Amino acid sequence: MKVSNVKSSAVAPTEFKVVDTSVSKVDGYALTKGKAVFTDDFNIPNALVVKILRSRHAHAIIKSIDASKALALEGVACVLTHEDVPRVAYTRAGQGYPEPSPYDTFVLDKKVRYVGDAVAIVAAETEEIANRALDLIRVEYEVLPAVLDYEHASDPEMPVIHDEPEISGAYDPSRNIANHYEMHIGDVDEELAKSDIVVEGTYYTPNQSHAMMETHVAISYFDPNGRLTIISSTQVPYHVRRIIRRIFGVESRVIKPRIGGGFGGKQAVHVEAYVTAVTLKTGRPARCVYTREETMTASNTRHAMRFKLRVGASKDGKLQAIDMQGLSNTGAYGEHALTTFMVSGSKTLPLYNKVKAVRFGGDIVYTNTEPAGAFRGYGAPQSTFALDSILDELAYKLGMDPIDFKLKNSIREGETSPIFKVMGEGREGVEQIVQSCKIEECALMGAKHFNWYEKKKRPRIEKTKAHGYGVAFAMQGSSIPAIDMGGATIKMNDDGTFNLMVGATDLGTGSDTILAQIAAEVLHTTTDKIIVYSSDTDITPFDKGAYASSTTYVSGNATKRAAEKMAFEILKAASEIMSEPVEKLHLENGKVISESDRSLTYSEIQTKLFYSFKQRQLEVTESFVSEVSPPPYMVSFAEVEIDLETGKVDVLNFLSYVDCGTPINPKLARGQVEGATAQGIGMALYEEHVSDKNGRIVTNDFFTYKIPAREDIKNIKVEFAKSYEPTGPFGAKSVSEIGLDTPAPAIANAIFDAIGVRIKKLPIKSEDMFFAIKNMVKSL
Amino acid sequence: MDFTFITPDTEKELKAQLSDRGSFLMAGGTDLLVKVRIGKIKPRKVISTLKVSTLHFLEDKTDELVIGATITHSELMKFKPLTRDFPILHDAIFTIGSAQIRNRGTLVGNIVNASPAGDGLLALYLLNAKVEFSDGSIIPIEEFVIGPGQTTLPAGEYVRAIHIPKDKWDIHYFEKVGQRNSMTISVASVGWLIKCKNGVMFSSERGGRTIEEFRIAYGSVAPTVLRLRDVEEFAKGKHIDEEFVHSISEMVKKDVHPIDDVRGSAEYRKTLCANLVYRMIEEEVKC
Repeated sequence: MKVSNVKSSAVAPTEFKVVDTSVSKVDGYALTKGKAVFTDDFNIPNALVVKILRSRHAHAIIKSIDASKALALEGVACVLTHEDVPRVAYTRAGQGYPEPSPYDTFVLDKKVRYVGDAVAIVAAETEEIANRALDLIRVEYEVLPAVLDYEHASDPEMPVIHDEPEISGAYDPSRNIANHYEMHIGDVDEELAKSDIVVEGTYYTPNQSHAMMETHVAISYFDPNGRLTIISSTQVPYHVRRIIRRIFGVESRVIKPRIGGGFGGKQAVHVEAYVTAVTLKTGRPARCVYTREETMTASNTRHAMRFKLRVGASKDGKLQAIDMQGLSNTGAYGEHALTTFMVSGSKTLPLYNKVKAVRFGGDIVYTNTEPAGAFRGYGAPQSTFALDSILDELAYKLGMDPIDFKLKNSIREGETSPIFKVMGEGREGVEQIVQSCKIEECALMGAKHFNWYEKKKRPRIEKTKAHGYGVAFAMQGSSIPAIDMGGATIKMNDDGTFNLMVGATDLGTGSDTILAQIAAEVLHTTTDKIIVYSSDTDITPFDKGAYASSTTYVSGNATKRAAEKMAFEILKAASEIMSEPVEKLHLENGKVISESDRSLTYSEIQTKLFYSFKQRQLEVTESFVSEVSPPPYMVSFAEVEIDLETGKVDVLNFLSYVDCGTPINPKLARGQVEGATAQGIGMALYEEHVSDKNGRIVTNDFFTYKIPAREDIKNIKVEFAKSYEPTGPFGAKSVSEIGLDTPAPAIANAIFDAIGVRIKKLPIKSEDMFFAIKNMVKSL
Repeated sequence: MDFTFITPDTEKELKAQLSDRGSFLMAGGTDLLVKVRIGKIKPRKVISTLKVSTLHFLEDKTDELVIGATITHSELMKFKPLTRDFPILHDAIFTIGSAQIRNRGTLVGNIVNASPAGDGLLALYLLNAKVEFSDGSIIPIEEFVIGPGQTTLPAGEYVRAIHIPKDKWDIHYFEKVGQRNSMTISVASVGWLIKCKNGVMFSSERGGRTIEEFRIAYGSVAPTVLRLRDVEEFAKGKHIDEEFVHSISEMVKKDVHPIDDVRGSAEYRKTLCANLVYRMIEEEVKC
């Protein structure tokens, strides 16, 4: 539908009224006042407390479970084992259907595959009784040898982790290979042979915990009419509904309240299946709140990856070929196994579209460790660390400034990369011409703001401190093209407000706010007049969920379309009421105004429509499915100080220059980049899963698992390039994940600049730095 | 996790409560509550010291500073005489946890916790502080702590105060190497106090000034905070120069006995300790 009276996306950025301004978050007041907003705040009377008995073994067969003593305990409602739940193979991954992840998971199985795997579900009247019941369950295990080192997971003599007959969608479970992927464009070996300079390297990135403040929580109950209702701290309520139906054959309503952070950790079904099993068994409400330890050790982690890279360039600095061979550890189960690995390639390689040949591939292997899953960046932070590090090394060997080298070889507006078409997520991608790309501005303006060229003149080692400067380039995407769909419904009320109903899932990202801004911009009103209801599967339209940097782009476009349709409905109604042609009417400040200067407020229009004139409710629903996935771009600059006597690395300054199109809410966009930078610094310097020899994670709380604190992130600066993405809502692209891609390579490059040591394994702990410095001094 | 929580108002009531087994004293709770939460301690009764007004005092006497049991780290840091007379203690306390932790935690709590990584404890070792029990007895801090979490505090008693003798030091230094910059437990920590014969000099000067008295201690490298007496003896009469620091660095390597743990390897800690004494040369003032 074409609506000439409604301002379309063609407006120049300067004309925005609500978009591109930092309005306050719609949920900010409730959060700062400590109002009951989170899942665990819902007080469902008479709910049973659900606890999970977890395996102490990394790999074992359950020979028997004796729950008689637990069941005899007063206040224990039920103990469920693998014999009591449906044996349906599924994937926990909350992805579009059919999921590209293997179906290799059961609610409970007779085999346990990592320390922390679920053995039994206990439901009791109180938490204390539930915990006592856990202690009273006797499990007899046949302990199997475990696969703990992912680099040897598919060695010939290794035990098979997934030998269940029901598994489907896995590449070669008999060799512990969950998925395999390979692609190539051009002849990589030939181009490398012809290159003047070839650099090789192997890079390692570790597991990482999401460390969201709210742990995994779900509550289930039958509503008075017997409809199963699940309140869950999930990023993917619609996928939860679908997967719960697949497992239990039961229809349900899934409600997502305010989420206390997810970072991808909640893009999976963790707790919902357990509470559902209890409610179905007992008929009673059930509540399960994961402890921090469970969240750290028995939910999801970032895929640890290894990349072996070879890159070649001509003497004049033209990148000729990239060969990237990866290995990814998906842990005990394969949620997001293939797709994260493919994103490692598809969200990095198109950045350097001038190459003559590219090859990418590798295995994603099962091990007896905590399952890996979705985590902000989704494979791209791992591969960006490897690729950007090696390109930095190549630039160094060419005697070029890394900014010049990376700019010379990177993509520009109006260009494309064959990789967009070859690689998608779990399948082929889609062709796309890049319509907005300000990477040049990001690099040049970033260098200026950071004072790159002046800083580089400083002596690197002064007494016992070394200083270094690093730069890293990154891209990401905005949604999974041709898969991700989101809907938006707008309903007009007689008080002049609108209800915006979206399936989009605000997990602290601020999506409720920016979607309200988009609707308010189109409807010529203010955000306080847009009342957002998000993520209730019985009430709001479908949305794929909050992941893949898609909410602003997909749900934003859906909201914009719905608002445009609503604007037209308002004009049409006003035209009838005022007896003036639509063409002579326009929207302004919550009113319809005619050329003859008559006006009607939205409130007056809907009141008339309710009670006295052509009576009807104005309500519209629109959907948006992405055809392309416009990448945001970013260039980051790091200044590090290394204490040569302790090996301690401090990131003194970190500046990111970002092209995310129009930032719908600049303050929230900045927050996204700052938060991602902090997580990236954590990945670069601190965060690591330390396990004992039996595969138990020792770093299972915030005492032992170190995320960066305020003092560790010093001075972070974020600037935005002037950019406008024509396919995005008001020119917007994504900004939620890209910030995590650059810190690790920028810091590692800065360390090289400081002391000439290339660190290829994360995290760069003081201790490792210390010995690296010692070895360097020795070899001098 | 059910326990009785009691807040006595007087020291007499406090002592009466202590006679029960399974009772734990709590001031700020920054250590105790962590241990309770992870199940390391299962108290039957927790007795708060915070309402006992006679324990909340700071006495700046001519020859010593006396710190009452409920004085928090933040209160201490704001106390002017501390910065003036005991800058090493100020520097050490500043590295404890975060501002929030320092607002709750107490110095007495820090010593009773008896962690080999205790930051405040390390400074108190250097200052030859003494510990006053509720029975009136006063013992040196080194006799108070006997192992990780272990002290010689008699059952039924509590620590009333810490006494720190006043002394003039020309050079003081404290450093904590942690996994990150705040909210961290040290991988290794070091502190030293130096008195120079005929005063200090700046690194640019030359002169015949030597070390008159030297104290050095390490944290996180042995079951308790460790004073290195052999180094302290050796230092007397020496100049702070490359040769001196090299010699004591070798001695440090032999003296410290760190372990491998989740925060760092023994080898790293040992080498780190030996390296940290080189800070002496980098400092502006020497003797």
